[in-house]
Amino acid sequence: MGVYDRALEIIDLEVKAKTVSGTAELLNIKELILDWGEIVGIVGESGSGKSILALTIMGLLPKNVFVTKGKILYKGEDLLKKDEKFMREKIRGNEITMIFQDPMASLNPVFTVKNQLSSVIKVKNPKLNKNEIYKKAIEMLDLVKLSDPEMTMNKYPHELSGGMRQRVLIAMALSAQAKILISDEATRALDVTIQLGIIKLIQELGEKFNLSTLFISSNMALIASVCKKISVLYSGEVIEKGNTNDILKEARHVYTKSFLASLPTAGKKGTVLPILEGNYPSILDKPKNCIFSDRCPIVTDECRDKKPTLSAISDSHSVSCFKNLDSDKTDKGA
Amino acid sequence: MNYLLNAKNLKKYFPVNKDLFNKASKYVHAVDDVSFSVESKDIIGIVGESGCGKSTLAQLIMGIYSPTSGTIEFEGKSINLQNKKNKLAYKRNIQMVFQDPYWSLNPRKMARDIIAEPMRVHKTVNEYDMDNEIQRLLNMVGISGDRMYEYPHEFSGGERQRIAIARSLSLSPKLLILDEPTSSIDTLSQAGILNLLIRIRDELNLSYLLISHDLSVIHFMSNKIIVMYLGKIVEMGDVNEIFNNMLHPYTKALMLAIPSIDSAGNIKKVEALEGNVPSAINLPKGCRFNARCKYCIDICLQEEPTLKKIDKNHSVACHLY
Repeated sequence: MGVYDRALEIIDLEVKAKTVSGTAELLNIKELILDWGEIVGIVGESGSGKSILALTIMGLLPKNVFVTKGKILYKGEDLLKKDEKFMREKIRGNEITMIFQDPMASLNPVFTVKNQLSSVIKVKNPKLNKNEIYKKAIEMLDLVKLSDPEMTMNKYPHELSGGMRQRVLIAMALSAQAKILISDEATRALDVTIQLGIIKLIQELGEKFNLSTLFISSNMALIASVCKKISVLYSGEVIEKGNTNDILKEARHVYTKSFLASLPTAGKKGTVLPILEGNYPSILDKPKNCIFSDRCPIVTDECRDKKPTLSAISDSHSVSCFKNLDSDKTDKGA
Repeated sequence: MNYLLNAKNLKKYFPVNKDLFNKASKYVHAVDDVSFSVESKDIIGIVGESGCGKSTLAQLIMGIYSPTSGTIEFEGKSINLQNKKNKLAYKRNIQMVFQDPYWSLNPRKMARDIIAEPMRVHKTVNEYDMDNEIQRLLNMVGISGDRMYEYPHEFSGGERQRIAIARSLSLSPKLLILDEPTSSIDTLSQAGILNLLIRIRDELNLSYLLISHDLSVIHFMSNKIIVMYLGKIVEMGDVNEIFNNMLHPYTKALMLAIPSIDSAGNIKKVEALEGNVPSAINLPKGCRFNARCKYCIDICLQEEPTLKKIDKNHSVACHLY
């Protein structure tokens, strides 16, 4: 779409936090690319930096967290160099929007849906009159498949169910003509059947409006059924990325393998699930060089001396590990 | 057959719209005529959308609510929760592990006191032996005994859930109710918790009621499944039987709606279940699922189906079978 072939490009990003007990390294991402109309999944455990990544893109980092290096390119411009005013007026909630785990916290409880949705439309289309704005708002609610949009318009957020609130937020994102949607565990608090409706909607919007989505979750099964591409985040670094099938069927990194092996599935009934030894590294005291070296069962001196880079093993699949570059599917799990 | 727990025609209606004389005109039919039994060492998975009554069912069995009608038999004896002494003795046998260990542990108490509290209330262990007992419980759930003086915030999510499990084991119960025990912790810690639950079930001869919406967890853990919809059991049976030969349209739709990956890394195709759960106050006439059912026939609009035995280990409430 347009002259820019990439929706979002994150290059060499480094994010650090100043705390009372020292400097914490939060993110160290060499490259992360989101194409137009594409849904990219970011999977990782809590503490892997998934949410910090989302907040960095939005320019919403807490005061003690700093970007020390790198670029976030959107339409060829580096978002990190923009000032707060530009981010607020042009980017955040306009070109790039975010939906959170708790939709109630993102809607104002004292205004109706009509009020909140109309104000977004008004800012975007200042020439429209009241009636046209109303029509447009109805159209938007229809687009996100809310049944009976006219009734929903006059409701307050507390009168809506979790799934409906999330849909209203997506409608607001769409009426702001957002190009990129960041979904941070947006379906976690929802019921399973409602969750599916939301992810189907995100998929459809991607096809219809070329909306690109960064889909952040810790649920591998969910990510795998939504996204075509997956990046696995471990302690602030992308340790493996590839097409969904590459990750699910031919995972190379020990961490990804253990992650998959630890998922309970029907076939593993009656067996003991393999567990990765060790704890998640503290952000204040990460292992030197290979970030996974303190838990890795096949660690060598090389891993402690040199930092592995994300290197391609096929067109779509890259892994950040010195070992395991040869295909060995039978050795699943640690 | 000797059952550990036998629930017969359990009903729980919550009154709404009370009038001047405290008489309710309408009721929420949270749990409506539910019967099932738990044998020793059973793990029974309960699935359903929110609002289907699974949590109310758990609370009925815990003795938090008393049923509107119906009985609960525990080890062959009917439970009378009006009698305080009976109630205490009964509650010792049934314990619960909650969904979110960030909320279910008191942040101002040390792990030691969290685990000791039930034993102090029920006076099962004296203070002199308390430390040994707590060490034993912590070791059983895989936490080093010398961490008992730490506070909840010093533990990770998975470790907190282990402490909650240790607390629930402190009264040597026979039945544990696990309400979404792993849905708020990470995948890798989840595997550890599931392994732990299976291990202590075998060691201590426990039975579990496992409430979860993660079907892979249910399939991995349980040997029986109960599928609930709007307060009723729609399908029930042996886990392999249900997964290989599910009959009720709701069970099929629910299974299709939940994303999962199999051991070989294949993604299951998902399909949305249309429509919403109807109100539990004004129940639809006939089958409760008729508005969302693809196979709805005339009789479904008129008559409510009853739970019929299809096979030795399989019952379904549907007019189609």
